[in-house]
Amino acid sequence: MFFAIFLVSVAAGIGGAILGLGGGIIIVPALTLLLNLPIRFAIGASIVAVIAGSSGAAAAYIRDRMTNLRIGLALETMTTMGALTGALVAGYVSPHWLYLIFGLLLAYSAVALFGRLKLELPGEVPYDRLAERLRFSGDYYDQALGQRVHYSATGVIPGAVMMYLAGIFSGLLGIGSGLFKVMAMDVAMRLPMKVSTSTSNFMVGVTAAASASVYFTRGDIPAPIAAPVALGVLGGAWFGTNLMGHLRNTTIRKLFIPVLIVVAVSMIAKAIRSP
Amino acid sequence: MGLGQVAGTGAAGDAAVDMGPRVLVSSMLRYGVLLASVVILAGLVFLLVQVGPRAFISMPRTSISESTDLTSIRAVVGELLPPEPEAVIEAGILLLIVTPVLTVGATAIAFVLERDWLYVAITTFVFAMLLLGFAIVRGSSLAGG
Repeated sequence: MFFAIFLVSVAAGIGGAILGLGGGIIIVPALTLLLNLPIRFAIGASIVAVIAGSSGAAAAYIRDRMTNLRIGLALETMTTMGALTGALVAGYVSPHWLYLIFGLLLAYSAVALFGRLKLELPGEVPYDRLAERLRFSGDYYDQALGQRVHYSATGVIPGAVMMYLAGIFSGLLGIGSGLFKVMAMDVAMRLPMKVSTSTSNFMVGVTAAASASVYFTRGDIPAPIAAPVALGVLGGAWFGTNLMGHLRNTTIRKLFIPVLIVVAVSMIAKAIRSP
Repeated sequence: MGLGQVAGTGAAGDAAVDMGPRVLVSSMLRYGVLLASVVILAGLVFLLVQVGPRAFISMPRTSISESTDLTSIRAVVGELLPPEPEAVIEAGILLLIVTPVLTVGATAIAFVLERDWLYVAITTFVFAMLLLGFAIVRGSSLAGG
């Protein structure tokens, strides 16, 4: 059992580090469906996984200049505000509609991503005054392409709105919402895919740490489950970060789309099934 | 290193941009995670010594239906003397949880050293929101019992 949880966590760590999701999407179904753990411990474990994976991966990505710290921090203002909004309105909004709205939003993102499937780098993007003012630009060395990539962001306002919605979602349902963060940066702000996933990686850890206190206080993070999860995800994240630099942006997109579709469909299904 | 760097040199291609905050965030996350995993590993070794290998086979099964009662920093620290394996592990988990939050706080200071006041404000705001979140959680969990 201990080693089964550990192995699941290693897989989640690798996937999370490459896709910028934190790994909660892999951990929760694996622990509940495969290992029959109660859902509340699975969610508690996924929070630990998100923080471990994010911190482990972000340390490497920030060093390699793949993560854009400014973009991450500036957008984190929106997600934290969203998370607080979500926590405050939690009693008044039915999760039924939320699942439907977000499921449709993700389905739309999947379609948008399909259109950009062959796009390795965004190239020149339309000028955005706010991006200029906030200095949303940077460069990183792309190991797969063997060249230094310069980029700058566009569409800061739509990106920020999506980030705020992502925050509301995680505040309401306790989900890390790395998917929405990557989508906001890739589809709305048109950053290189690697910059989007690694910046999201940094952000999900910060957001998850904020909600971790809830689960810790409730006793949902018991040591026998948390220990193998934390160590497994850290190991996986270390491996994933070394792998990701060598992958092409288009490969990461291709890996991203099936995850997106599965989550979108299960969310819409949840919305239809719940009364 | 990044000290005294003029704000406004954010043009792409400037290799030194955000050097200070980047190095700080990267190393704080790395050492925070390293420290947490060493503590968690120590707890597991401790468990192995105290209970033996069967702890790892039956481990989550034994406690599958019970949540931990170590739910606050005070409770965890209290159980550390005399040391309990579970409390050592929970202490490692706590270290893991506070790492990103403390990193954001430290980043605000790093931007002060860079004299990048816009990002000092942005980062401080994020840190404040995180603390506010903690406060709301504490308040509601106390009210909710």
